[in-house]
Formats: sequence, C-alpha cells, structure tokens
Amino acid sequence: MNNQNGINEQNEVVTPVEVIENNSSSLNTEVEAPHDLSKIQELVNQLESKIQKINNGDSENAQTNQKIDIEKVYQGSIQNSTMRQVVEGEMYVGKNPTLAKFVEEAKGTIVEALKNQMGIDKVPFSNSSENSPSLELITPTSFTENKEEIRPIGISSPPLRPANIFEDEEILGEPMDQERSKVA
Amino acid sequence: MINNSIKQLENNETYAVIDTISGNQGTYIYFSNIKDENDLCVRKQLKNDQETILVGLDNKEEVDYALHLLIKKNLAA
Repeated sequence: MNNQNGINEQNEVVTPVEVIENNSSSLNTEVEAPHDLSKIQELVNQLESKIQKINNGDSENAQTNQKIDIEKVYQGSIQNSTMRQVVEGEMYVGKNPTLAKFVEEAKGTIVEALKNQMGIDKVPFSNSSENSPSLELITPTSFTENKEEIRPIGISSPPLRPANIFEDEEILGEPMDQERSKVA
Repeated sequence: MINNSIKQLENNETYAVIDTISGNQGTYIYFSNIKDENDLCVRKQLKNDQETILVGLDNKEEVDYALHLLIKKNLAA
C-alpha cells in the first residue's frame, strides 16, 4: 500500500535484494555482458563484512601490516598454457559503492605494500616514456652534455660534426675542398 | 577491461580489476582477489580485430615492470 515504507501493493515486504533485482535493467545499460545479480549480492555481502573488519582495525590485512607474496604474484601472472582468456561476459559493477570501496581499499593497500617491498627506484628498465622504455639507454651522453654548443649553422660557430670524420684528410680532404670552392 | 569490473580467472576465483595501465608491451590489467586482496595478479590485455584477450606476462622482469608501473602511477596520483 505504501511503497515508501518498503511494502508493495500486495502487502509484501520488499527486501533490498529484490529492489536491486527490480532495477536490474538500469544496471544492464552499462555493458552488454550478462549479470548474475545474486552472485554480485553475495560478493557485496562478503566485501561489506571485510570492510567492516578493516574499519574496526581488527583485520590482519590492515594497510600497515600488509605484505604481498611477490613469488605468488609471479606464479599467478607469468604466462602458462591455461592463461589465455577471451574477455567476454565480465561483470561491471562500478556503480556498486561497496565494490568500488573495496577496489580503492585494495589498491591502496597493495600499492603501499609493493612500495615498501619493492621500492620505487628499482624500476627494471627505464620508463620515461611508457611506449619506448629503452629510449634513455640509447641517448648518447655526449650529445646531452654538449647541447649548449648547438647553434644555428653558419651564424656564430662552425657546424657540429663528429671529430673523427675529418681526421683522415687524404680520404676526405679533396672532395670537401671542391665543395667549398663551388660555394665560394 | 575497466576498473571495478570483476572477472573469473583460470583458477575459478573471482577478481576485481583495481587498475589498468598501458605499458610498452600492451595494457596491463591488475586483479585483486575479492576474497583476499593479498592475492594479486597481472594480465596483459591484447586486442585484435575480432576479440580482446587476456594473457599472462612473459617473465619475472615484466611482472616487476608492471608492478612498478602500478606503484608509480598511484604514487603520482
């Protein structure tokens, strides 16, 4: 009789789960993938319990104590024969505040633990640009050290050239002299 | 994949996507087991014309690289 009090027209109490199911069409607008709402609700309940423990400070996974088993991460992340999945049917639950909170909590604790365990300076290879990680390694140091000497050619200083090119005048002297006389 | 989506991986455990970062060898997806956030794993997302797939990383060095990307991104944020 009164929907605002959680009672429907048949005088049945409407549980929160039923409310979610009744609104499932709005959730499905996010992605085309199928949703198992009962499974999501189960997961949400588990996460709420876990977050409550964290908030109460009695979780063994509190941020300050968290450690990541790096070897386990290796085992779970390095390619093996079963590790190839087509991405389909994923359940997007980004609008669920409980799961969103779990993700933020988990990311924060994981990043903090990884930083403590792995450091932030020991990057395996340069990542100045994520698309060209080795760029810094192939940059000639002499070029960067002498970049103040680079000026427009022919204005106030001779053009920069590798020192060893003109060391053998017998090979290069004559053609260059011809070129210079043509210019003059 | 996008953050806050959940996915069942090969071990039949359910994981939440906690971050997605583009690296030099593809896009890295970071998964945390929703029952145990210590259970972390990384996958590469590869796309072609027909489908998007998740594959494992090549070696420990690439896992280290992916983890440092995660650290650096979230420390900078």
